Amino acid sequence: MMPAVGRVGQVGRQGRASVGFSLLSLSSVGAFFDPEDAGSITLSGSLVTGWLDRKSGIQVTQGVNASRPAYSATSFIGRPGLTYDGNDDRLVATTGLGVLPSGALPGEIWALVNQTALPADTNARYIAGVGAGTSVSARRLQRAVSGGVNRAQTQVGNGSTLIGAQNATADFSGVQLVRAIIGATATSTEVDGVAGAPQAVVPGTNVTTLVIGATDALSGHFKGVLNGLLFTIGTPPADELLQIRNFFNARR
Amino acid sequence: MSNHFVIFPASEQTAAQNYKAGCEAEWQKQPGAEGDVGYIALDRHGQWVVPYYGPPQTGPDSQELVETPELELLRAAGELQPTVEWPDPE
Repeated sequence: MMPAVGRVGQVGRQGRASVGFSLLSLSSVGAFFDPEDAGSITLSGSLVTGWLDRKSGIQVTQGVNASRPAYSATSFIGRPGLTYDGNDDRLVATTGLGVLPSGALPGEIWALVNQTALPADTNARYIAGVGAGTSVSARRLQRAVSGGVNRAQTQVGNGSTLIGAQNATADFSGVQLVRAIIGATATSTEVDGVAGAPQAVVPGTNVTTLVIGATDALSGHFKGVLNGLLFTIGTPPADELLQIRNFFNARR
Repeated sequence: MSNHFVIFPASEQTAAQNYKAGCEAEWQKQPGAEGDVGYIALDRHGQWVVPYYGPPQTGPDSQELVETPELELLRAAGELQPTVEWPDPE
C-alpha cells in the first residue's frame, strides 16, 4: 500500500462557509489557518505534518510523529478539524511571522474550537501562543479553570510580567468561538459573543515563534478539536468584525 | 494524536535514550516515515518520558504501530502510562 502522505483533498462542503468567502480579503486579517481549505494541510497518514496559513503563507509544522494532531473531515461537529490530544500535540512556526502583531501593536486571535478538557483537569491548556518562549513577551489564548469551571483567558506580556484577562462569565466547554482582544492599553476575552472584563496592559511582545496547540514555550497542550484559527492585525473595523463572526458562526 | 508514554525513573536516563533510539530505528523501517517518531522529555517529577511505540499511535499508513519484542525489552525499566504530568507552563 502506498503511504498516505500528501495534501488533504476535497475537504470543503458545498453550500457552507468556505475559504472562498471574502474573509481572506479583509484588510485586518493577518493569518488564517483553516482545515476546511483544501490543500492547506499536509498529512502523514491521518496525522498533520504541516498546516499553511492561507492569508500570509505562514507554515506551521510538526516533525515528530507522536506530537502531530490528527486530521479528520468530520471531527468538528461533522466538519473538518484537527484533534489535539492534550498531551504533546502542537504545530510550530519560527519563520514568516513578521505579519503577526508584536511589540505594542493591537491584534486579535479568533479560534473556533471544541474544547474537551474537563474542569477536573486543571492543567493550563493553550490553543495558541505567539512569542519568544518566555511568558513576559508572549500573546497566548488558553483554557483555564477557575472555581471548578472552564474559562477562556487571554494572556499578554508587557515585557516584565504576564497579564491574564479571563472571561469569568462564559463556560468555556464544548463548541465555542473564542476571541482574544488585545488592544493598545487593555486586553479581554470574548466567548460566543460574551465579552469578558478588560485588563489593563500595554503589550510588549515578541514574535519569533508561533505554536498552535500549546504555548510559544511548547508547554500547556490544548485538548480538543480546532476548526479555525485567525489572527488579525490591529482591531478589525466593525464591518470586518461582523464578517469574521458570521463566517465562523456559519460553521456551527 | 493519541498515544501512550513510557515513563522512566530519573535515574534511568540511559534506558530512556536507548528506548528512544530503538523506536527511531523501528520507525525508519516504516514506508513513508517522516521525521522522528518520538522524543525524550522530563515530566514535572523529573522522570524521563518517551512516547510509546505501539497502539494507539498510528503511522504513515494510518495503522497503529506494532511493538516489537525488542522494543518491549528496551522499555522494561519504564512504566507505560496513558498520560503525562508535564511541568506547568512558564
